[in-house]
Amino acid sequence: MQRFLVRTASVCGRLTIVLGIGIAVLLFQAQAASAYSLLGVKWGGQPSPGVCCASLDVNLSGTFFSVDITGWQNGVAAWNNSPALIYYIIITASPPIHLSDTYASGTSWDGITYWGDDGQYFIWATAYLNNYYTQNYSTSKIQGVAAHELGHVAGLDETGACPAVMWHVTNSSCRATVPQTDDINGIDALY
Amino acid sequence: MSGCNQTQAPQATKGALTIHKAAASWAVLYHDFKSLKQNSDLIAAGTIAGVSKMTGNPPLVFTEFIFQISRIIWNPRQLVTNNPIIVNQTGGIVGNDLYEISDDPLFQQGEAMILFLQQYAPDLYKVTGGPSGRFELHNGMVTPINDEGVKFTTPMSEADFTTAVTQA
Repeated sequence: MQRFLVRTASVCGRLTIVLGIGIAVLLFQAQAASAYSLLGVKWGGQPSPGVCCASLDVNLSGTFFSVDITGWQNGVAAWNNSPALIYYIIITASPPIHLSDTYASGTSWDGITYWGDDGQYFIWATAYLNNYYTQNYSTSKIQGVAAHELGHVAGLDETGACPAVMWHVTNSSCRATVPQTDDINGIDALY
Repeated sequence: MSGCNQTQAPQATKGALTIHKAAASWAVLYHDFKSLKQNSDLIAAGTIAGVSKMTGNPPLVFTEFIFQISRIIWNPRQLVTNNPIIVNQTGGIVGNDLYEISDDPLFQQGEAMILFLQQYAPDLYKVTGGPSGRFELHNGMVTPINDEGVKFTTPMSEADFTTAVTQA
């Protein structure tokens, strides 16, 4: 009887370990699958999530450093050519989304997005590239910064997934220049 | 950073101020003292004494803060001839609107910090690597502003921090 109890306890112990490992693997996969993070607001008047496709008009007009306007155009193309359920449409009218650039040497950021919201939906958003940095970047690196800011404009926050355009640092092997699975999952959760 | 945050918070306010958050793409963040030090012109402990001036136009505004140095930790180029110095930060208060980067909140008057600094113009400094070059100082203990830069397992004493930086 004692031997039976010891053996049962041993089997139960092994089962517990196997079950524990299984749960840990499942939890890790679940976390990896939802690494994207959201700002908590989105643009209203868009199709329901999963229905193609959200459409955001972005104002790209005014005076730019030449590499930056190309960067914005490439960033828009990167999203539009991805499977994400969103399109950015460049216009020169004055919608609530404005893409711009600046030259700011007293900062450590190469791109930034400001926004206003009503707690549920964006009211306005303005994104900048910082030519102090972008003037020394390759075309693809600028595209990565622009795609990152366009992700913020849509409602994505920084991600812990690597690689991703929503990775928060440009000079990192984790910063992608075109939307990756995690970025696309984030957009598709929103729109 | 990680996790899927889908909560919907109303536009934040602080007192009478409406807070407009910004999300930044950092050119580079530093994860160790050695690289922070190598990319800095000055490392100093001190306190934010106030605001010198603001520049820019909303939403892209900058605030030049007065940083009263209490102790210099690293000053290889002997840059500091005046005390206090001016440290520029992105963000600021315009009327009833507060603009700040989510992971690099605006300095507060009286805030004690150790800053890794780069001189970007005569007598003007910026924090090296954004939030990764900014450390809070409370009761002689040092902690990073967030988990994006050098990671601490526990707060360090100011003396241990200085030793670590000096030896890096």
